[in-house]
Amino acid sequence: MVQQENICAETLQTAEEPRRKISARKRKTPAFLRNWSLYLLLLPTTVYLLIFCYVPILGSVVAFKDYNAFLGIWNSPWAASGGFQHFINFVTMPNFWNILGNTLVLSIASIIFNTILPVIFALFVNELRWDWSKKTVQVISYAPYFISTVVVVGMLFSFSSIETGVINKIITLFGGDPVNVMESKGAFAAVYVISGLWQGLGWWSIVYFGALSNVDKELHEAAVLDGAGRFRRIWHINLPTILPMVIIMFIMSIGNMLNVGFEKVYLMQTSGNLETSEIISTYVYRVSMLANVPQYSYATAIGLFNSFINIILLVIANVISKRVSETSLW
Amino acid sequence: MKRWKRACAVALGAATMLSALTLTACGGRKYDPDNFLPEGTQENPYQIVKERATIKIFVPRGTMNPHYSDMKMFKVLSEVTNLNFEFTEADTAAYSTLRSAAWGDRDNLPDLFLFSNPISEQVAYSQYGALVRFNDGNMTSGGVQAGNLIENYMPHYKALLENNFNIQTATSAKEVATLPDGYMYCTLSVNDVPRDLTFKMFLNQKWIENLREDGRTMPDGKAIPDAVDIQTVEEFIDVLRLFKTYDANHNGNPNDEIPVTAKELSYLRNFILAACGYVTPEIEVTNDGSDVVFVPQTEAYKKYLEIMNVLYSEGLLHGETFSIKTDQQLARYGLEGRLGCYCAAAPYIIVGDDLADDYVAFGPLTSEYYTGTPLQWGFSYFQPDGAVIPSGTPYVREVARLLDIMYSDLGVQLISYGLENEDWTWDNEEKTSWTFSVPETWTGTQEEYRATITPNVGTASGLYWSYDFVGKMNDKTISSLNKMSERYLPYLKVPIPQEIKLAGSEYDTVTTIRAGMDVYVSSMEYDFVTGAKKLDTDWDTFQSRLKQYRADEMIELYSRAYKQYLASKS
Repeated sequence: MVQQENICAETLQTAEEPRRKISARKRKTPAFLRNWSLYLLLLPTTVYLLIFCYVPILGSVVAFKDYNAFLGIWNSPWAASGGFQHFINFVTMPNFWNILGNTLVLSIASIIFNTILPVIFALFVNELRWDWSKKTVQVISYAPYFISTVVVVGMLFSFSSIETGVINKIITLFGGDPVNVMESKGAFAAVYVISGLWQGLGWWSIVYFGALSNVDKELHEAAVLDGAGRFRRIWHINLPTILPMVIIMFIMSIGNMLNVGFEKVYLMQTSGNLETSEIISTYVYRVSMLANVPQYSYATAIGLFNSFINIILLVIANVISKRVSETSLW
Repeated sequence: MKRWKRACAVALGAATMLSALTLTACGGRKYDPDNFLPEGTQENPYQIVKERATIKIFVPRGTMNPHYSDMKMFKVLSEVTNLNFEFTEADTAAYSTLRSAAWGDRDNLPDLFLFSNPISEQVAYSQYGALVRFNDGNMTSGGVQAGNLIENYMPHYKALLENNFNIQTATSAKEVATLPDGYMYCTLSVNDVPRDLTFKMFLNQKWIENLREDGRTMPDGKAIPDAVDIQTVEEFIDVLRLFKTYDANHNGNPNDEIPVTAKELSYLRNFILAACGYVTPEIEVTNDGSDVVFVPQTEAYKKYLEIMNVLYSEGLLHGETFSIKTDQQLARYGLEGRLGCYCAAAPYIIVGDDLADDYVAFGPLTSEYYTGTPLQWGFSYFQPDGAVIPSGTPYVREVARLLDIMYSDLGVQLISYGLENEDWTWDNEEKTSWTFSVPETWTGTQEEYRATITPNVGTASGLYWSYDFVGKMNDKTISSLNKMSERYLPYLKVPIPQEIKLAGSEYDTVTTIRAGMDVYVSSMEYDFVTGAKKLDTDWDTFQSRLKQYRADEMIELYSRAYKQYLASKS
């Protein structure tokens, strides 16, 4: 960001240079002072980032303390075991691996399906001949995105009702025994991912529609002359064009790997599916906001643990992507 | 162009600085000790200050309530006391977070934390001297030598405390209010209204009569008992079986009856569990009063799971029970006249006004396993969470008198139904009943109207919810509810007496343990009830897992506190 502004400033300067005489003194002043107005423009954003993104990082220190609101962040006593007691408590909890496993299953499944299917969807819809049909399909596909999570989960509960739910009506039609999927341990991840796709597929593919509209028409014409069929053209022209974007989106979703959508999972929880639906963020909610005696230090420690793993995953994904495809975040 | 850009930049920069400056601005109040009136004035005994003064109060606010400053109760209080109130309202959804934030801002502490003051916080903060002691003869706060607040400024509260709030119970109000160091850091919130002291199970008496009409009998050939006469869980199950088998609701379809259901199992669990000897699946005192146990580790809990498994496998327990999360979802079946038994605050909430009269409260039950005195989960009459004063405020005496008014007749009336002759009127000279007047122009429900008067709606905030006044209300639905609830009163068991307090960090330990364990327990409960796991083979695994979740450590903490309490009594 800063770099960009700088380049911008330099170009402005050179453009205006012929029009006035530049004194030697002015040349000696550093670039920072010469472009002060641009830095001033940058100020609000910087202040915002500092106050709301960087200063709160200092608060993470409560993860290593036994936080007490009355004593405040700095005066609260340090936690036992050199400050790491909360981390130890979390990792040694009997259902730690269960919770971590559930989180990973949900996030990996989401990442795989939510990255691949929107690409395929975009490629297919892009092949529709008539503009109006393309537009209609797009609108229909991304409309569910605007339904709030609470409503979607409410719909899931009614659909899976044993007596009146659509799902069980279909199951019984084919002679099966009705089952409430919202109470089933095995089905939780599937219900979560499929309902997520129903809601977000069209929305997530919008970026790819944009990228596909930039594909050079001449490439297609040349390919047609060379005898390439529709599928060949998608494979060799369309896909390579959007691939960098797909990879960036993928890496970014890896960075959020353990931050599975909290509210949806929490709303979908029933005592029947808790074994597979309890994830890190719902557990954090249980020990902090929901608890009679909120455990801020413990919750922060878990949050910090979460971010730490996310960063490691992000770096790994970036390195791999750099090696394999030469596309990367940095 | 360039000049314009520069101007723009300067403006932006200046705006940032300005907003930073305004954030730091704040105001102050000046305290005048001579402004306080210890006993009011001749014309107005409620008056607290000569000249208007402002008291800052931190309060929880539920979704149903308007702003506190708009509530009738506080308008009246402000008028009679001559105090202005400045409220910091914390949404109940994020209450504990906002509360911590309020304590964190040490320079701007309120003069009073009203309602919902967690005991764990009192235990933790009192050791730093953060809270005013109500019964300390040497108490000074903010330079004001106030002494024993209850003795000096709270005559109503003192008298009530001495008479145990005129409630016949073994629980001592004084002991509940006192921490192990001998001081009271809070005033009590008190509730002796039967309908709010426990939950209620309702059984369809109409269906029982229908079945008798059809000539059905119990399996042993005897007549089907009335709902209120059902004594044991075995009889209860037999009645449910009849509901299931026959067309109990006389609509021509013998298969649409739902014998029993609940919201996420919550209250049904406690009802059936009580028939096995414990009232909650938590830490609870044994019935002989010798020690505490963690109920999921007891044989009684196993017995409870067995009974629930029978209910589930025979289709008596509604299949949707585990997915139903709200009263509205339950009402879908209730309004169709398909429910045999359920738990609710009142029948009309679930089945509507037309069918409400078919249902009567019944229980508590015993079982073949547990044959002692019937038990029903009871909420404590006294909770040590009413009001807390942060030390350092000079307004201690004013706040103490304000609190005392809330325990007087005026306060009791205001917090429940508002002001005499405006919001309600006595029906007769003897003052044996009164009528609540909701304006004819009001389009919402009665409770919604009450929410404009008092915070005691939804969140049930209140210092003194007194049956002596509330019980005299002239309202058919409410008095029948009170009547139905009275049957539970002799059997109420509070799982852990409110007199028992853990030490500061022990509450943290318990919370951390419970956050993981509760999920496990409720997941296993589901498995055992639905038969996914078998009691014969998986019970031992369940028990050893509970130990891994540090159940024993948790019991140890409570057991020590309980034994200390027993020792102090003897």
